[in-house]
Amino acid sequence: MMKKWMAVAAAVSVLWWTGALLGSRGNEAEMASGSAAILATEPMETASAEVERVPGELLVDLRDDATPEAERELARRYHLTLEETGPSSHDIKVMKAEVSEADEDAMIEGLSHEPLVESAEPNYVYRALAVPNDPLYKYQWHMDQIHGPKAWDLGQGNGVIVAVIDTGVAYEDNGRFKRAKDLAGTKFVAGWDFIHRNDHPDDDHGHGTHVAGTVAQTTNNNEGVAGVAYKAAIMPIKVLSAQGMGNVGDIAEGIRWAADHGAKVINMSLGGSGFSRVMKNACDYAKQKGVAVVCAAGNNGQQRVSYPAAYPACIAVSATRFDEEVTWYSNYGKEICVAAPGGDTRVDQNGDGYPDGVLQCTISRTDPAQSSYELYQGTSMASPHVAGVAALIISQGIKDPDEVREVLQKTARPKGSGRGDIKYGAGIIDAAAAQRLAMDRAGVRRTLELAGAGAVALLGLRIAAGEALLAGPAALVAACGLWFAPSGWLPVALRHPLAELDTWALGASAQANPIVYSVLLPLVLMVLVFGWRPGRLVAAGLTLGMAAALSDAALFGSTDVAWIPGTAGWLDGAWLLGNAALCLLLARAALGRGRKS
Amino acid sequence: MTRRSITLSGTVRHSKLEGGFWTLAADDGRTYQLDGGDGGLYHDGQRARVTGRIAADAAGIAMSGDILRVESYEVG
Repeated sequence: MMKKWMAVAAAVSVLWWTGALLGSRGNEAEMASGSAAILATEPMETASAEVERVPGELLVDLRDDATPEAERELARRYHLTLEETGPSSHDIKVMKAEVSEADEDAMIEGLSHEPLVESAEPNYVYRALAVPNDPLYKYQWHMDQIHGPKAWDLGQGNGVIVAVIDTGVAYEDNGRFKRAKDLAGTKFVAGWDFIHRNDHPDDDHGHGTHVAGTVAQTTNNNEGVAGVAYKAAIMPIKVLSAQGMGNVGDIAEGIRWAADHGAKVINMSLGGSGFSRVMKNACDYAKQKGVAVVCAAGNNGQQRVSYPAAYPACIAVSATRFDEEVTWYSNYGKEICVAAPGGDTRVDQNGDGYPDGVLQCTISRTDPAQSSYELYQGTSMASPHVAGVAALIISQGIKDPDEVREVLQKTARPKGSGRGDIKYGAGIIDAAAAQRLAMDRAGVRRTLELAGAGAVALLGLRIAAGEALLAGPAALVAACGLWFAPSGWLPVALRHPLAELDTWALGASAQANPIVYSVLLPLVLMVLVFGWRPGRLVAAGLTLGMAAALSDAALFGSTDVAWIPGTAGWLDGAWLLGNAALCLLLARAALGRGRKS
Repeated sequence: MTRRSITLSGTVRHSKLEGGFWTLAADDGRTYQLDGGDGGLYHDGQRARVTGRIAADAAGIAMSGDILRVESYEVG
């Protein structure tokens, strides 16, 4: 039995890493062909942060009979200052020692061999939730209001592109512009500047960078603050001037450009009072292409939602403050979909010594090269909280903009008069509940698809219970991921279908990698393990799961496969379904060979 | 599409929303977001008579009323 499970683990990891290697080659080709280029990437996240090492700190457990003299002698030899860890450490002799980060491992090695030392290890901090280590996070009351930490246990928006249509974003070093300090590890894809008509949508105002920060500020980097969907990629689209103004024509073009270049969420923290057919049509176009369009309700403090928020294709967001009341400046009306924190800098209701604005990293108004952490207030700040949660929902496998809206509304905390309040809409968004519901919905759908694929593949085959025991779980891992596992138990990547490993390994891309989204990886794995029966059964399960995942991508994902002509058209569907069929044949062959006749 | 020039009296205000912008709280009870003009206009609380055009096809970060493109102004 033990052997079988080791075989399962080995097979999964072989497939995983083969895919990652092949996938990275595929992406280079994709960049060369001119599709959404990744400007910055970050290594793949391996686990949600529950346990964290305190840099430069060791815990040293001394033998209980160690004398004070022996302790001092040890400390002297290792140039350490041993501190008691708490009132009880007098008896149990667990000491804390400060060391330089570089010496940590050597020091652990040395101390572990000392007769006086029972154990020496890094000081781990165990945390119930993924509370970011960013030092100014404690002032981001707005992330707590939307239940950010609980949400980050389930995912961080990996693989989703969010277009920020605004004054630009401080995303690169370019002449007088500098990348904002706390966007250092944030992923970006290529955008466009509709004011200067070039491909450098740098921010000469500060508004767009602040908004982008709320969506995807670099998080857990021991710097600054956090963002809602910090593993999502930002597409900077500049349509507003250094004065924060623009015209409807440029904005409409920006919306279409984002929709055509792979954005799955658009944030528009901008507006005007006039209805525009051109802008409405652009919003309809984006929604039709599967983009969730999120907009600020406007700042007149009146019962009149500004445009574009008031267009039916858009998700209109009103602004709350710390005490969850809708702010004095927020517009409202029947078009409001949900509410989110926008801040109120006239008050300090949480008593943290600062006005209750939304805190993000942006650039100084006078010098775009200077980063600055600023407390902004406005419905513009509320909208990107929702755009971030939309990215979290989409990264779980919910792709349809209407379903994104539904999940946002179903999971919002009702306020005011209930689900359809004129000020709150369905209520204040809840990132954790939204992500959980999205994960469950996508998981159920994929599991049903897997059941279908399994039935097709096994038709006419007798399969022994022992075989199903190996192939079944493998199929589940490949098709659905272990989506049903409780929060914090698993690395986020394992909650997703295996075919999505291209986004986990490579970051956001507008297109699916045709090497990963094919029969190739299962085939390679099958060739490697074919002669070994337990391995072959696991590989057959994974292949079966892959068939289900490819069908899911074809039928529900509006998936655009790289190198294949057309955007998420019938050719992409044919590729995916054709490969799903090949996977079924491969699985059938492998199971057939394994069957005793 | 810009409309014909209008002249409005009111108080110039610096809004603390959205990182900051300037408005004219006009005596007609409406708020206009100011665009253009020079430094002489932009003093919080200053009374002014502003001539300009409403930019009907404009939008921006302020979302606090129509955008008034300043052509000329008198203070006091």
